[in-house]
Amino acid sequence: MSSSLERAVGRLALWAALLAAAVPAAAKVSFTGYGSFNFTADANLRVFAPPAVLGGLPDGTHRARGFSTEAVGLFAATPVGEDADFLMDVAYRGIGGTVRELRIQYAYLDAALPGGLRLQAGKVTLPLGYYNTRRFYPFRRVELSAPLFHSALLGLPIADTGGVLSWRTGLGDLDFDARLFGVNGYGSVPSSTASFRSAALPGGLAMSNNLGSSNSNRDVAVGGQAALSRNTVWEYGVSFYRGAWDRSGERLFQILGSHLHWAPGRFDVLAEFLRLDVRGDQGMLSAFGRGDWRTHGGFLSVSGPAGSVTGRPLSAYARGELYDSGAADGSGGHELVRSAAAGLSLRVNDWITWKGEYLWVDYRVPAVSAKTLQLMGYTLTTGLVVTF
Amino acid sequence: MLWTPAWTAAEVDLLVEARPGLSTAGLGLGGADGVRLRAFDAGELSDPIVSGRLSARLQASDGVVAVGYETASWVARELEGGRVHFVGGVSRLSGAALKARGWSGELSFPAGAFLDLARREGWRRVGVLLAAGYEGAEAALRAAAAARGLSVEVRTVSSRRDIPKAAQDLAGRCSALWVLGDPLLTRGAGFDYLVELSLSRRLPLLAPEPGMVDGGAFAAWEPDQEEAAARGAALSKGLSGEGWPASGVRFGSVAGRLRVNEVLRRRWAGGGG
Repeated sequence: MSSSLERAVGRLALWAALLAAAVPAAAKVSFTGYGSFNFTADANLRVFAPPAVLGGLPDGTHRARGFSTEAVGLFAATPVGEDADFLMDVAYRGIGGTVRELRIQYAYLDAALPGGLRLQAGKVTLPLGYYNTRRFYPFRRVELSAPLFHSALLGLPIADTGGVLSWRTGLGDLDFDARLFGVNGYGSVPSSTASFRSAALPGGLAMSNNLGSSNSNRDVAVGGQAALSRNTVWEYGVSFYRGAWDRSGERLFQILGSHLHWAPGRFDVLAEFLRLDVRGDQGMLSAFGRGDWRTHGGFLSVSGPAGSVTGRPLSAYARGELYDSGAADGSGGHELVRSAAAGLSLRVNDWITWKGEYLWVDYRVPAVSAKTLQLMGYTLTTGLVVTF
Repeated sequence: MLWTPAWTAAEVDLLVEARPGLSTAGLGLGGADGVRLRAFDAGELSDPIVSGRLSARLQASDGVVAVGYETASWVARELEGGRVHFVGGVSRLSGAALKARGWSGELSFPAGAFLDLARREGWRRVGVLLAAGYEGAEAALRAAAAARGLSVEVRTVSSRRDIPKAAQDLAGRCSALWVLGDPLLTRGAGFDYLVELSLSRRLPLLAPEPGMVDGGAFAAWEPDQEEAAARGAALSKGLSGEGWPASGVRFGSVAGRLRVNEVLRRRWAGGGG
């Protein structure tokens, strides 16, 4: 076990003990958790980029093989009222492309309010799309990996400090859910207050680094989701986010998304579409030629039964994604994210799942001096997901 | 206030597997009867976030009434103490664990369900294999048999090592072998041994769960799920604020039907091997 993982496990245990000690004797704290571990049998990636972006890493073809701890998380839940719970997820993982570290994924009070409302207050996972709240954890999805744009660039999970108000009502056979949130919101890239993203800075392309522990301006980001569903068979929803990312509170970042989930029998289909709007981003001037830029794209994931192995159910899945980012007026260069994945998932029992996946990626973005940063290749990975 | 931080009234949590049509109103539960319905999707309970949250709630409950087999398995795994009464799924639990935790439960079938079958089939003496902790059902079992003009032979086992001798003894003296529950007898090597014995001696094995018929048992009871939920609700209303049933296992009263292994029945009736 690596020393950083050892320290993380030690801190997880300390968190658990502190939480158990802090809760009144009448309340009970329940601890559950998960671990996700991968073995990359082969990674063949070609990286081409200006030296300033690579930060010392040589360009060319990179081959890799090895084990990794994807994530280890501890969930705590305790009732704190008649219809109120406090929930926490402390996890050792990386968000997007960040270095793995121990972090609080979420920690919030979930309470019923009059009028059929529910309030989540604290550090909450934002109701944006379907994947972010219901497929983020490896034990909640068939696939081994998450869509590349969401995991590496947007940053999964999208969680922030604030509050979410939820309301559900029945419409005949259907259910309607409405959620509104107010949070600190995305800020600038950590190393520059004038840039939301930057192709010239190591790690500057990932938006996941822009969610910090405090508000970067006086603006409270708002958003919400409206979804129509029928039991667990299908759900259609739209989501939005709107907040200023810069210190002066004048440059906007907006997300508009829609999702469709359909689960006929033992098959599962999920499609998500996304549009991002960013204003005044100096960091992407060299890439797009403009500070105002947009992203359009989406992914489609399909899974279904694929027989059994020694009586245990086997599932197969396939996923494709395509995202295109560029100047809002259509001029300049484009950032392109394409990936395709296919794999199998074997559910050994309620607690152990083995997965295997082939992932192909093609990412390119105009970087500095009109040179393009390009990452292309494939990985072949097996994974173990354990819950407890 | 937005919420009340302290517990208000004694409440019983009724834990039932979700299905279309299941509702508080449908079960005759209102707001003032001190019963909270918790319906869950069995597949969800393997999700550690959902399981942990439900477990935290139930650990702090005044009492839990768990209806059904999957519910019983989850409760046995996740809850450590408190007051729990099982409706229908108690056969999933070990008698030793029931005794140690002071829990109680009703089997998913009445004593007469299998004894009526025995009478129809002409089995005059039925062997009953009990796991330690299930002795509470013995008196009712003997009374039901006597009322039908049948006799029962009971052997109690405490460990896997006890099973062969006890089962062989009953096989030599009885026309059918009946298992009430406990993973010692209904799972793994114990159940496999009993099925093997049943098939080799053509000794009908009567089992507590319908899925065991697919595993080689001759017959099992398939409870009516709606009836079981209604029974759980009625019981919960009675338990709320009152004393709980004494620890142990007793026969249930939920309607249902016998599921018979027709392949075995035809084979044995026809004299085939």
